[in-house]
Amino acid sequence: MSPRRSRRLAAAASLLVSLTGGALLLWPALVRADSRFETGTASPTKASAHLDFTIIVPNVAFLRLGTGGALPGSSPTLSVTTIDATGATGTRTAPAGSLISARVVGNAGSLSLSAAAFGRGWSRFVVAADHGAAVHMLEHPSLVDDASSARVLPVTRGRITELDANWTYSLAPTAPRKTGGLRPLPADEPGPTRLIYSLSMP
Amino acid sequence: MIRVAHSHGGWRRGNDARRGAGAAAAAAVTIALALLPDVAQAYVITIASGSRAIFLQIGAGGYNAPSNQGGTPANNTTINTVSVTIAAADVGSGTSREMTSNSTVAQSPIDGFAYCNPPAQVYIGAWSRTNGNNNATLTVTTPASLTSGTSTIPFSQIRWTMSGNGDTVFQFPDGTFNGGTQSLGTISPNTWEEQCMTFTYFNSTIPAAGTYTGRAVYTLSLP
Repeated sequence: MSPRRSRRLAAAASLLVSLTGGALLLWPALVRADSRFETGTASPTKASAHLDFTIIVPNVAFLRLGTGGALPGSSPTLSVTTIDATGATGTRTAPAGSLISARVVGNAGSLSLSAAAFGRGWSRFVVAADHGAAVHMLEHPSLVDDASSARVLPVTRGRITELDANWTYSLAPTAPRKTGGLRPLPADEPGPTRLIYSLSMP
Repeated sequence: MIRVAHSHGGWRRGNDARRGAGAAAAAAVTIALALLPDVAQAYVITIASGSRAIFLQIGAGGYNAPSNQGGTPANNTTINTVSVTIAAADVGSGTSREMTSNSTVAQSPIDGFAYCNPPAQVYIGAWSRTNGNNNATLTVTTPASLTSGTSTIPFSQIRWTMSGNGDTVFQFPDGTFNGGTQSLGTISPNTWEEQCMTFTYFNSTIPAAGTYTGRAVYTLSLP
C-alpha cells in the first residue's frame, strides 16, 4: 500500500464518519452510465448494461513519390530522378535513375492524380508502370507539354484506395516522320524541366 | 440496502489501501470491520446473503449513495460512450491509441473511494445476492464490427485493460473484443466485484473515413 494513498484515505475516512447523516451530499450528481438492478426468482435472473463505442476516422489522401513509409503520416524521402532526354530520337532504354516509386492511399472514395508538366517535350515520354508485389497498380497520368493532365484513380475496396507502382520514364521511340511521328526537338526549344504531381479528393 | 459483511462479521477489501478508509466509513454505518493481513489478494466484497438479487453497473449506475453509507441500487438507462478520434497523419499507423469516455465516474459505489480515473477509465462492477450457491456469470457481447454506413471496423480492433486505484490483483481479465460473447468471469454468491476499464484502439488498418459506432452489451446472469 502506498503511503500517499493511505493519507488520502485517512482524510476521506474522517470525513465520512463526521458526515454520516448527510452521506448523500457526498455523492456527486454524476453523468451516469448504464446499470441494472434485478430481483426475483426467475432462473436465470439477468441484468444487462451497455457501453457504446465510437471511432472517428478523418479523410486521408496520401501521395508518396520516392522512398519512405507506406502509410499516411509517414515521412517520404522525395527522390530526384534524372531522365536522360538527350538525343531527340529517343530510346526505350531507361537511363539509370529514371525510376521512381509512387504510392497513393485514400479512404474516402475515388481520387484524382494529376501531373503538371513544365517545359516542352514531355509528350515524347512514356512512363512504364510496374506494381511489383503490390496488389493494385498506380497508373501514371498522361504527359502533355506545358500542361496538366489528370487520371481518376479507382477505389480498391469499399471507399479505400491503395495503389502502388514503380514508374520508369523513357523517351518514346521516334516514329517515322511520314506517319506523323515525333521529330527531334529544335535546339532552341525549351526542354522538359519539371513534373508536379497533385492528389486530390473530391 | 445491501449490507456489506464479511463472513467473520466484517467486510474486507483484500490487500487494498481502501481498507483503512472503509473501516471508518463502515463503522459509521454500523458495518463491522475485520482487518486482514497485508497480503496481495483480489478486492472482493462479501455481502450478506438475502433475497435473490443481482446488480450490474457499467459507468456510474444507479446507486444514490455509496452502499456503505446506506445507498441503494436502481436502474439507470444512460449509456456512456468510449471514443477515439484518429488524427489524419495517424490513420492506420499501427500505433495503438487510448480511447476516452464521457464518464465522470471515479467513485466506487461500494464505499465512495476514488477508484477509477475518468475519462480514461470506465467503472464496471457487479454483485450477486442469493441464498444458494450458484455463481453468477459476467459476459460481454459485441457485434462483429463497428459500422459507419456500409463501412466497418472490426470490434477486435479494441482491447480493454482492467485496473483500479490501489488494486494489484484484478477480478476481471484483460482482453480484446472478438465480435461475439466473451466471459469476464464469475461472481461468487454474495460477493461484489469491481474494476476500472481502459480501452485501446489498435489502429492497425486503414478504414474508410467516417464515424464508426458499435455497442457492447455486458450481461450478468444468475442461474
